Amino acid sequence: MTTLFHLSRIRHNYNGRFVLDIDEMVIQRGELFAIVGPSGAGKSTLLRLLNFVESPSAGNIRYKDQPTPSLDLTRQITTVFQHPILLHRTVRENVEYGLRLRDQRDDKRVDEIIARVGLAAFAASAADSLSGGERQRIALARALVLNPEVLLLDEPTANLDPHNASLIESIIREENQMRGTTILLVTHNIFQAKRLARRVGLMLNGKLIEVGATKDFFENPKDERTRKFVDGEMIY
Amino acid sequence: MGLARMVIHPSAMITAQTIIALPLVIGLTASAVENVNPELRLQIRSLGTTTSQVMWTILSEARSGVVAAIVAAFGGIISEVGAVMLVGGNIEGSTRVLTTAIVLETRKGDFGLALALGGVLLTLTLITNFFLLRLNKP
Repeated sequence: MTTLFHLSRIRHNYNGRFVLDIDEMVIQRGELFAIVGPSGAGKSTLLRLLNFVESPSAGNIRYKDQPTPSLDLTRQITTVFQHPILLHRTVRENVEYGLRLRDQRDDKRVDEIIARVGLAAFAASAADSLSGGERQRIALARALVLNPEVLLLDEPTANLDPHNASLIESIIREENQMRGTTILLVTHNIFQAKRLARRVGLMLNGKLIEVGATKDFFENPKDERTRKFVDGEMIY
Repeated sequence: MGLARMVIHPSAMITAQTIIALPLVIGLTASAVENVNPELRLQIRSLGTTTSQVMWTILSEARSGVVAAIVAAFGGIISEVGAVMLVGGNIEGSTRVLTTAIVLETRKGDFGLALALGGVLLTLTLITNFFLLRLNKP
């Protein structure tokens, strides 16, 4: 496997408040890696750093061995946020937004992606008028249409009904298995991590506590805090 | 005379009008941009946008405020009398504009012409605002 991301000695602060402290972390090409942990553990911050939309206060992140990747390289990475903010435009305009900015208009692909997330009937509707689950699917479509090599998912199914959650999970699985997209899934839902990921890591208070293959992580955790989190004994 | 030559000129009128309109445009546009969800900036950057594309998208999302700023500034400029009279001098064929012409005709007692010019000014303003407000639609 090829290393896609290599993080070393990452420290990150917001207004002097420490939020992230990771000595080393590696993400391999084509893997589906889940980061679990309670709210406020630094998971979302980690995604912003991996998407190069924020720079760490200290340390470095290498993507494809580049410490400061060019726009062409960072365009291979995209994020679906927990609370997607959509443009005040139609579903279709939201989905094709990234392609238009890259001068890569592809109506057929946009239609395919909209249909894939089950929103073909709403393509011409205002994105603002749709439900939370539908908005989350628009956000996923707007990311997928770009054919990303790396997809960063921040609690993509939090607060969604079982139907929407299941649809999004099946798309995540397909993207990883069929297209070989590298996926980093951040979730506080350990069952979702268990269902989808091949490797799981636990984050607590900005630190990466333990990383392991999914089976080992859930059945034979090395760290006591991981065991407590997995067993639901950790109060947070 | 040197100062008068510099001032009594259309370019001086344009400069004066710009100075009058700019704070209004900047203030209303900044306020509209501030009302755009700050998280949007981060999310569109994650799609691989350049800085100028981010700025353009934010302005586009704040377009109702931006259009309001343009409409307000246009309204202020087109109805402005004092500054254009002061720096323009109301010279026929050179620095006379609708508002200064209306003032002149009123002073001369030709109220009919003044009212007619007022009607032209009002019509121009309505037509321009109509097209500006169409920009507000996505």
